[in-house]
Amino acid sequence: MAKEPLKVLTESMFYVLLSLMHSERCGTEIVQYVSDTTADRVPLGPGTLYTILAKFEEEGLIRETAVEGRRRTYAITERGKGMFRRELNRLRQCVADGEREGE
Amino acid sequence: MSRSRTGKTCRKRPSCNTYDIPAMEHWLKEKAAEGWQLTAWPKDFTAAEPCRCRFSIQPTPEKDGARWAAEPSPERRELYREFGWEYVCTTDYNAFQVWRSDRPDPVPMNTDPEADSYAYDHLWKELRLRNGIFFAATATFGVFIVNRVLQTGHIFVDVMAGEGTPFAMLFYAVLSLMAACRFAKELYTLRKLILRMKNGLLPEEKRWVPQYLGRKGVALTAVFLIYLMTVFLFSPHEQTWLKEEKELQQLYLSAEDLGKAAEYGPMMLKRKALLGSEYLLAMEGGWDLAGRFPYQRMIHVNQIEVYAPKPSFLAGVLFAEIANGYVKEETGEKALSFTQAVFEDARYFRSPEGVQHLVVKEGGKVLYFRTESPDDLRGHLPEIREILAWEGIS
Repeated sequence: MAKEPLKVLTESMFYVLLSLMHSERCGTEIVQYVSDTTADRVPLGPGTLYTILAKFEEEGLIRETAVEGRRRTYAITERGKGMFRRELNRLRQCVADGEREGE
Repeated sequence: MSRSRTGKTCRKRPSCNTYDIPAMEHWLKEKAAEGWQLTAWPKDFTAAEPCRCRFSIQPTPEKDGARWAAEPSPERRELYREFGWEYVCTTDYNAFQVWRSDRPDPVPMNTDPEADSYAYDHLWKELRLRNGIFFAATATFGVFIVNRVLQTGHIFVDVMAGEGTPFAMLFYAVLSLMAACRFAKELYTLRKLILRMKNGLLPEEKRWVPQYLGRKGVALTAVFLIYLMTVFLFSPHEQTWLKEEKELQQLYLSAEDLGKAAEYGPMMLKRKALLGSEYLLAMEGGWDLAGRFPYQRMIHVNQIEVYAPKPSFLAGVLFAEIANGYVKEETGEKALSFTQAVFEDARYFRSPEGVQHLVVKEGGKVLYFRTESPDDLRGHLPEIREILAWEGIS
């Protein structure tokens, strides 16, 4: 049985949304941001990035803001920000539960 | 690699399923190592220097216009190039795009199975719809064939008498079934891959294993089917129109012998051999020049058909088909059994118009006698037995 789509974000999805929280970015910049932020802990392949961007756009979490030559720039939407906050809260609860019960 | 091979192109066919993505990627990698580079789909290869490169088969993204976009957008090409991947070609129905990397350690194309699975969603819907339509068409065709066999009730008779239609239908039905099995396997393979990815698991690393037996099996099946088709449609077939045919004296009981005036001149003798089976038709009649029928056709005043099938147990099936299906088709009634001690089995029917139908079975052979003559055929059983026992019919 497969999971319900986008109910829980994967790490890659989480960081792609995070990369767009404060500025618009193109594909290459997103990959660079994820690589720098996670110190290469979270790999992001081009196929995966493209699929995530397409899915997020389809779900209205991000939108295309500009096309300059071969560069497309993306920005997060209000819906995307809401999704990011929900995911952040879920992760906080996970961490809190883990710290309280697991240590 | 020899210089003469450089630039040579050829088509290569993997024995793995096209939708078995990891196996296909591995197969392309092996071909490149052997000096064959994929240049175009389906499976066009060009001879080149053997190289160690990697392939990635990606579903065509919906954003690019789904299956209508044959090639990736310039933006996608550039982004992928930065990661070391070059576009090669697009597969059938624009389902997948093939990418190649010559770098020794390229950034993997896919790093998050669950996220990657979304790229397959629209492909899965399309494949399901396409194959669903095909399955429905195949099922309808199957029902049509079964219905036809049940309605006419004489498919073996038609095949032996040289009518190619029933066999051709069965041939196409077998081909459709084989194609349906292939498409079902494609659906199963792709579904398995998508479910695995949606659960966050990487696609199984598959090493492509050559399946020579499978390839030979497919080739043998194709040759066998073509052979059968050829044999059925172009088997030895003789047809003569000679009234003085010597054989006729031994295998024919004429309308005149049965009390009917010799009204029609031409006599047709048709003989057909098929995979050891034999069919023989001796017929008296003529072209309908008097306009008895709305279109010109043969009038079968008196006809004898002998079926000698191989294997001989098919005689029982043929006997039933003629007595129940063939006769019923013309008269609306089945031929009925009657008391006699000459044949293993015999059926007879006389229509209100006076047309007699006699079907007998003996020694793995079946004889069908249809006549418009007045004499009761049941009174001529010993003579008919001599026809059936004639050594000219194996």
